Amino acid sequence: VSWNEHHSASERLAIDAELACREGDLLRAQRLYGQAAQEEAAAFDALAEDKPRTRGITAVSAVALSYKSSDYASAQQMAYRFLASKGLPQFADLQLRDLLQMLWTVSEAEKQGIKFARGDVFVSVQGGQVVHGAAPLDLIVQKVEGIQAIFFRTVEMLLGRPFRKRGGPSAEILSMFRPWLFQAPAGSYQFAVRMQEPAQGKLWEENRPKVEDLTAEFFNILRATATDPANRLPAVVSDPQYRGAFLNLSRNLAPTAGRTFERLEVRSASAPSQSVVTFGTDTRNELNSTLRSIRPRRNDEGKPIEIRGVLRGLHLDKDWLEVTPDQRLQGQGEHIHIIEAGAALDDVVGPMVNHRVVVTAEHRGGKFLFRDIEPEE
Amino acid sequence: MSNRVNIDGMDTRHPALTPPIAGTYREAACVCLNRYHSSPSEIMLSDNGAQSLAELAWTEPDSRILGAWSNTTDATAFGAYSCVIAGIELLRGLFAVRRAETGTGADYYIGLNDSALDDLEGCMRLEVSGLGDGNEKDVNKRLLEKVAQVRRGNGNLPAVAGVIGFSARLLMVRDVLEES
Repeated sequence: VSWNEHHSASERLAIDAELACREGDLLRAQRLYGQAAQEEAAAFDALAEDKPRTRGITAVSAVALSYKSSDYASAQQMAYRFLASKGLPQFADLQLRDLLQMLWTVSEAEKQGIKFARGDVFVSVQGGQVVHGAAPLDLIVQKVEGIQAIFFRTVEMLLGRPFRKRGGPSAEILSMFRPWLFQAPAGSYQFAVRMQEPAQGKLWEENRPKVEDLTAEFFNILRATATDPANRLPAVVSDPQYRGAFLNLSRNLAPTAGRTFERLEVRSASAPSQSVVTFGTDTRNELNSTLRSIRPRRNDEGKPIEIRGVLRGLHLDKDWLEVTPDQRLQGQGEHIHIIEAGAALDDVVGPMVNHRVVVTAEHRGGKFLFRDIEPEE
Repeated sequence: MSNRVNIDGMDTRHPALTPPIAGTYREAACVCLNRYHSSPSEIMLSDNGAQSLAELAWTEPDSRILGAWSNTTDATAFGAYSCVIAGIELLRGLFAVRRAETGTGADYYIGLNDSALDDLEGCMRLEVSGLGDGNEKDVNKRLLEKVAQVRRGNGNLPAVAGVIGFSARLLMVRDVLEES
């Protein structure tokens, strides 16, 4: 039997698997993906060594299909066998190693009894000081926290929960969805976020949004904030308080000047033909403009000033935050105490503590009145 | 107009498209196009920057089809496959010969119609994307993003990226060159 016959059979099975997946029959989809992987492996064996590109494509395809079947042991065995074979082109070698890395992670998690829902969200940070596969730790920690905060806000919105002004998500929400961080195939610096499947049989189970819905909504929100926050976001997020939170949290993902990083991209592993959502410096400018337009204004509001420095402390319940400015302001001490900060959200401002920020404030009657805060590189 | 992006009967011309798959893609394309325009319509093609005009005709979808494709994300993704593959056929004389399985979904390998189907040595990878709303600038931005994505992911495989803007009536394709 030729490569063509095996590969064609594999394609048909993979299409059927995809259709089963779309119909929600995941068990059938997994079985079909497994059969497709076996056919693809047989196709690889039917190829002569003088067809390196076809061998490489077929090898990657076989392991990817096996991974989709959730038979991680078989997928790993297959990858090792292909890597040991002679004459595999470089692109296939790299892609097989990336797949192996993903397989190790999910197999280890499964051994610990942790199951993950389908639908990785890939996040990559590029340019500036970021190099292939490595990035400043604080930058990545901030972006991971930002992505997590948007996930939890999306869950709360889908559940119709009252808008959370203070603190983190409730224990109930945290137990419903637990985001995990994975190493993703390298390309600049990338990581993958995946949702742990919640435990079964909880009282709130029937009210819980599906992970697929959550991921789709998450992308709808990010796409709207990154492309046209003023016009598209209201169609996706009708609640103005949630809209404000998403605008602020999304802005934290975008670079300020492009020195540390130039852009952050988010894409869905399960919908590769959909666009990558890109946050660049222009996105930040647009988000700033939208945030300015929705901020409530007083009639007697004066001209704002910008204070650049390090956010040293805050107590939002008591309406204040404190910044150590780069240059001491005339007549002020080492720290600037800024009031009327109660409208800021914990998950927006919290990650900025002890980091560089730009605070927009109004200086009135010897006091600094809070208007806005954003991280600075 | 002699130039025509033909989304009908694609299963008879593209070995990688079975009748159900080609039908699904075509149905989605009709829904996306009908959302903004009336058939037939003129569409701008851009191949590595070289522009030309072509006609694109589709069947007006009935309420059942519109209901089945109420998920705009799915409709845009599947409709894009139909239009971009048909666009590549018109612009380059290349056809979808195989699906590409990557672990993150499927796009296509494209080659000459008479290319032997016993290997992929002469084929290129086609990465497809689509936009519902958006103008020429948005389509171009998406194409650049797709090119960057392909460049990161495909190692030394020659590839083409294609994007259709349904509202913008613009179909852009571009070769993905190796990063220097």
